[in-house]
Amino acid sequence: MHNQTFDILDGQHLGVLTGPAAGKTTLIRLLAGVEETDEGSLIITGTTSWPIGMAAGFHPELTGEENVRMLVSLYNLVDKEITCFCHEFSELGESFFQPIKTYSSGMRAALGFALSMSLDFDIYIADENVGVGNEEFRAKCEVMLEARIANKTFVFASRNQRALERLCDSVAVLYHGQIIMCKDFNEAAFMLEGGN
Amino acid sequence: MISPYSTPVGKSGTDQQSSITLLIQWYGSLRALMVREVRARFSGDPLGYTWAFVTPLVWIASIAVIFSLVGRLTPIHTDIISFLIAGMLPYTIFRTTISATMRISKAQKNMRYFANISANDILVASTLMELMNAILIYIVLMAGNELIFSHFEVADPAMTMFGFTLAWGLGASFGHMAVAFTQISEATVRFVPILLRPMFWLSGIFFVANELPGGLLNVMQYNPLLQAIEIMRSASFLGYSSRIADPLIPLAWIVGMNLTAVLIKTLTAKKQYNI
Repeated sequence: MHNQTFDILDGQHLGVLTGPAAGKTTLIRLLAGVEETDEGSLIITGTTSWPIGMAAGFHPELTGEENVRMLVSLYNLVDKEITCFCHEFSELGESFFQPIKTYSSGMRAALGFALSMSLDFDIYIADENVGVGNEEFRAKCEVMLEARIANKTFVFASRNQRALERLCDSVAVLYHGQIIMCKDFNEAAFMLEGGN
Repeated sequence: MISPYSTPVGKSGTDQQSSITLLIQWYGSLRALMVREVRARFSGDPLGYTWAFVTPLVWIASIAVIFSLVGRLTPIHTDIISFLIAGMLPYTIFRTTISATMRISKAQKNMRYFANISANDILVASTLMELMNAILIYIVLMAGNELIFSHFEVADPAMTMFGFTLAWGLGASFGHMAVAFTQISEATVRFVPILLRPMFWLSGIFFVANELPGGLLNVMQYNPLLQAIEIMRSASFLGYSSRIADPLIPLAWIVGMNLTAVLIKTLTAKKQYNI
């Protein structure tokens, strides 16, 4: 990304439609604070989540419960309610108390999503996928996500136009390192196709 | 079902926070990282944390047996176990701190997504954890030596700990530098053990500096780990006063390695933040 200046307003649900290798993950990493800009500045007002559903912070040797408690403790929070919520929402049952290394990828994703939804941030970010598991669970995830981001700022980068349309009220295209705001999703899709 | 938790959390953008608040948050983050690593390292094993003591204990016992077999007496007036603890533990903390720094930095890189955790936080947490582990191991081994063999000698506890901490500082600094070098080349990971192997033989685990001939001593005195061990020995044993103990040498190495690390990180700072 280069020579980029744009604003994301408070409460805006911005979908960023991208093609492959367009810089989607770099954008998310910048917003998450894991990377810094080479030039210029990134000003974020408010607290920012990690990418929704990310399970990469889980240590495989620890149980689901231990991982949740450890990650919550990073925010200096009491973990009991959050742990209960994650246990219940993820539908892991007894597996919640087993090491993460015994989980399937779907189970890890379910727990990652539950943890993402359990804390209250000002800004939520998502990279590609926001729903996990079977159709029923994905629907549950989407309901929860919509409720969670209702009055929040949400930035969702994805190649899936339909997912963006469901969750976002504005759209931009990330194309050749440039973020271009669009009137609507049709324009975004046209721009991306035209560029390809 | 909405999570009942409604207190705003997470990374702060331009919010102004007091220094005290930031310090408390930083302490909390470090503590969580350290607890996470300890739990992860020793969970699922029946012996659990006991393993942390087994390794140095085996090394010390093995070397004590070898000393006995070859008829080598301790070069200073103290028991063999105390002599080896003063030599082996600083070396152990030096090596384990390097290994932990390099391993944990990579293993915990995804933690940077959470709660303002930075690469430096992960480094600090991993090195602090090794220091706390090592101090605990030192206390347990010294207590064990007293209980089993009725030997205990620590003439100057403060300076003894200072020497011990210098060894840790050298490991932390070398690890910091090695992690920085991995941004230039991943081959660093393979070179580090090769580079450090001679330290086992040259750092005074089995000998004291005062035994060395003058010419060799003039060169060896610049080995910072030998300096740390000599400082620790001089402080521990009333009957030993090292000819070369000089904290400035290991301190200079610590500062130099950290500055090198910062320089490399600054020069190679780019989009990739894989530490």
